[in-house]
Amino acid sequence: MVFASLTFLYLFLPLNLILYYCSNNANYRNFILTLFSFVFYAWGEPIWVFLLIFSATIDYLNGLFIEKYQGTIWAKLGIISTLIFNLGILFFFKYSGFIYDNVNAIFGTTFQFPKYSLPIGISFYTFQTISYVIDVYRGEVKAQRSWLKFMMFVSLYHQLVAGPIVRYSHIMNEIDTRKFRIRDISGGITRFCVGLFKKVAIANIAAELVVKYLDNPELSSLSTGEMWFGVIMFSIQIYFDFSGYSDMAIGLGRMFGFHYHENFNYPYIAKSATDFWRRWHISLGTFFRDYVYIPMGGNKKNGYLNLFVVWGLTGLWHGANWNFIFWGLFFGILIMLERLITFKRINKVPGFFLRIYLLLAVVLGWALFYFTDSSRLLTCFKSLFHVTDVPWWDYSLTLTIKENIYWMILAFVLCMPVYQFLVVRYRKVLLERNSNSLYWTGIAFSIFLLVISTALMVGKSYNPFIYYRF
Amino acid sequence: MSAKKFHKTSALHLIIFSSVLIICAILFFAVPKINISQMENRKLTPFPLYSWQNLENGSYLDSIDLYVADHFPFRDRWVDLVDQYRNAGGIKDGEIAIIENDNFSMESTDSTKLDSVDLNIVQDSIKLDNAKLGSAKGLMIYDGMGIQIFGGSNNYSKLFASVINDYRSTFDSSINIYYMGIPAHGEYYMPDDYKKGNSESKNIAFTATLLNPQIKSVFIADYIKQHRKEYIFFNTDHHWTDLGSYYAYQKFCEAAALKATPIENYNIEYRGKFLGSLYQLTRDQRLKEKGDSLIIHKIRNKYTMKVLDNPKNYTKGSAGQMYYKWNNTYGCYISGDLPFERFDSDVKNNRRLVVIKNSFGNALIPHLVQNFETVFVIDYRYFQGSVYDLVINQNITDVLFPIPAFSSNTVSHIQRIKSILKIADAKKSSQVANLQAQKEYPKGTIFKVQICSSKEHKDATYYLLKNIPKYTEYQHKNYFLYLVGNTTNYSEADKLRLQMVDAGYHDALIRGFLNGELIK
Repeated sequence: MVFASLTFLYLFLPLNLILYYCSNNANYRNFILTLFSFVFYAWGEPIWVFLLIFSATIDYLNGLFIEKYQGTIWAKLGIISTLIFNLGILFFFKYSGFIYDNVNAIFGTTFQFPKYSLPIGISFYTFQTISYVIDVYRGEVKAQRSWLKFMMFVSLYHQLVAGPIVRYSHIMNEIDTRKFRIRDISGGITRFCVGLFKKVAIANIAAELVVKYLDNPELSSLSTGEMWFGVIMFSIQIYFDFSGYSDMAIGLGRMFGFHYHENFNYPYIAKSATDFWRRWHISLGTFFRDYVYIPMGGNKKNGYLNLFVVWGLTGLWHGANWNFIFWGLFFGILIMLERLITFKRINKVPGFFLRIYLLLAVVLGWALFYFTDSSRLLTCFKSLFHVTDVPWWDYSLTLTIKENIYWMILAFVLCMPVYQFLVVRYRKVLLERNSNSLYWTGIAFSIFLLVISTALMVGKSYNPFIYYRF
Repeated sequence: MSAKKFHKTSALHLIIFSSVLIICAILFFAVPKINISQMENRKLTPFPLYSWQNLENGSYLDSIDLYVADHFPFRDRWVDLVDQYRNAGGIKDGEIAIIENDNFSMESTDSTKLDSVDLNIVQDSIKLDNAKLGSAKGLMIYDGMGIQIFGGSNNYSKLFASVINDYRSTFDSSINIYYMGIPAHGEYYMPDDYKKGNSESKNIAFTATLLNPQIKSVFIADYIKQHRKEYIFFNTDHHWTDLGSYYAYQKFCEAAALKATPIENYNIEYRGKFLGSLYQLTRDQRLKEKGDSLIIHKIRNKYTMKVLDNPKNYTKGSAGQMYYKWNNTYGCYISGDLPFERFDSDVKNNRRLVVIKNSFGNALIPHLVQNFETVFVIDYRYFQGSVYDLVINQNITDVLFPIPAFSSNTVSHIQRIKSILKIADAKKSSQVANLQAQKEYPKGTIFKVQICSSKEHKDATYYLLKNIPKYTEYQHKNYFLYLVGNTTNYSEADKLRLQMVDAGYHDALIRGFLNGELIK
């Protein structure tokens, strides 16, 4: 199931909220949440839901085992077995086809690999359980004794299929005891509606434009302007899609008493690639930092090697294809260059130029990310830099831009912290003035977003998430 | 704001939000369901049938999502709201817009593309221009009218002409054969600045040069152009009006040595306003504002109309309506796109006509009924019988092909027109024909029915696939083929193909696979 679907919004969610809040009993509530999470997952993966349960059970047992033998060789064996198991299933489902293809290409062999569909969310939940077991091993958290609670942690449908990667340590207290705060629910509703709007009213519309240009079978006939427009629209799509999803996850979490960490912080206003990755998919960046980069020695030992390993892996995490690896390494190179130049010098450059640099780098990066077919990628880059015989501009692009101009302005403005600024102002005025009409405005705002999003969902049943299959 | 008040208003927020969700949920179950959406002119997704296989491959639950979306309470109102949001998103130029979209394939272009050319249609190899595979390249909105942009090419004309020439050489020269190429809106209403490349009338004229001289070409473009200020084409629908078809009828009568009925001799019926196919596709505000009216010119002759159910029985059928009264759109003419119909009029001139048409022919038929004793109407997209058999056994004197340039430039349509001639079939029963067809394939061939194909990979949410609970994919060169069924029996596959054609996949065709590989 996906959040931006009518089945979820008008059948699943109200039923879940009613059943959840109709009793005070903590065990009952945990059970309901886990049950709904299984249904949510099984809706998209009726078979692989058992893999999820099985793999989570292994990690649950491993956590207990490691804690029991803390400090002994057994604990070490436990952690190794967890890594082998989790990375093994991730590798098997996500990367084996890719390896086979490459082996066949290099050695001219014709090995046939039985292709399995990639279980939804596997990249997220395996990372989540890995971080849990490592944290137990490091003694940073206590192992969860209750199987039900552990299942709930892994399967929580808010973040199960598209992140953020929630660490056990972030919500361990809330797994045991959650407080019911009405203002949390109210805030959660608004946050959810904002996320839904971002996904349905911005990302989906950008997606249509992306398809129109970048999926054009005659890609080489596009003018330079159209190619840039397509790639910029993809940048809009992927940001609003993914951050909208994270907003919805955080909002849903609050409705049920969980507080997940933020996953995005206006990445497109960053001034460097380093800064960008502190603002984009934060839970993934910190995961690689804490569980790969620092254990490898961070910047103290083999700093640049570590950097490239981490960025290669970051790219690979996004998909089993070379273009994703190159995309990761592209950022690795930028971050290395930024370090070589040093931030002391970089910061002397006016912020405006730094932002232009970063946006260019990110947008070109998304082009690399988008095309899994290398010949189409090459066509795209040739046209972007106008090194091929295509026109600069096409009249139909003027029309397209004109027809979407207000929507584009809205999207661009929402990439900047304008909404945040307004919310802070709104809260301040609300506290000072104690005005009814202002509060109604807040309520009306979220309902307005809900109505628009519902209309768009009814009007269009096409709703896949980009990050769904990761 | 006090903490207490904050608490209170937060509770209010929760109550309002959950009420919206719950009320919609209750309405969803309470409001009676409809099966057909008039607005979209399509069947709404039915509640899926449960089977373990459907559950396992995910299609069962996906279909539930589609079902919920298709039957959401007050769906039409929500869709209108979408238009408002989309229209607020930018400045719609009052005059002109160009829209390119997959969905514009209408009934003309779509599924069977380059790779199907090698199936059985081309006798001598014809190089196809890759860049111009589909004939409908998009849509222009100009002055409140939807204009399909023509992308056909002369290579298609060669294919098409060879098929019509086949008809000519099949029948005795005493039987008249006419080709009437129909140009659509673009020919008359496209602003000159935007006329690029091939025009429909040029394409039609070129086609005519390739035809056997014994085929009579009816050129209508110049004559219709003289009437371009009249209401001859709908603004929001891809068809002509029956007034437009009347002028084509006049030209046809000239070619067929018949006397056309003067326009004053028709009874005019005003059926009211409607929004046609091009509006439903684009939901463009400018088209909505301009709108269309259905004005029917009814013939005064006495006639009977029969809808023939059995393609081999030329007399037995149920009564039909020439101007279907429940439909106030272009679909009212001859009750819409039925595979096979028969009209008998009070005319006595020993002339009997077969019209091989698609929906463009519908408005033309009533006019023609005034000049022939009998008119058989074949929609080549759905007809399952044999034109050969019909022409020979029913003493047909005239055969007319009123074909839009968009269709004569689309491979799947040319293929269908070719396939219904069925000389061989007429001599054998269809079962024998199927056995024959099966023999042409190697032993162990698995037959599947291709419902559509695409250059890009499509998933189950694609509009052509979302109502198909179970389909398989096959990649052939650069194309993804989407297939249903799996049988070693050709007749069974043919049955399934017909079912798919009935379900709206007009271009469905049978594909053979040996050891998982496509047989050419």
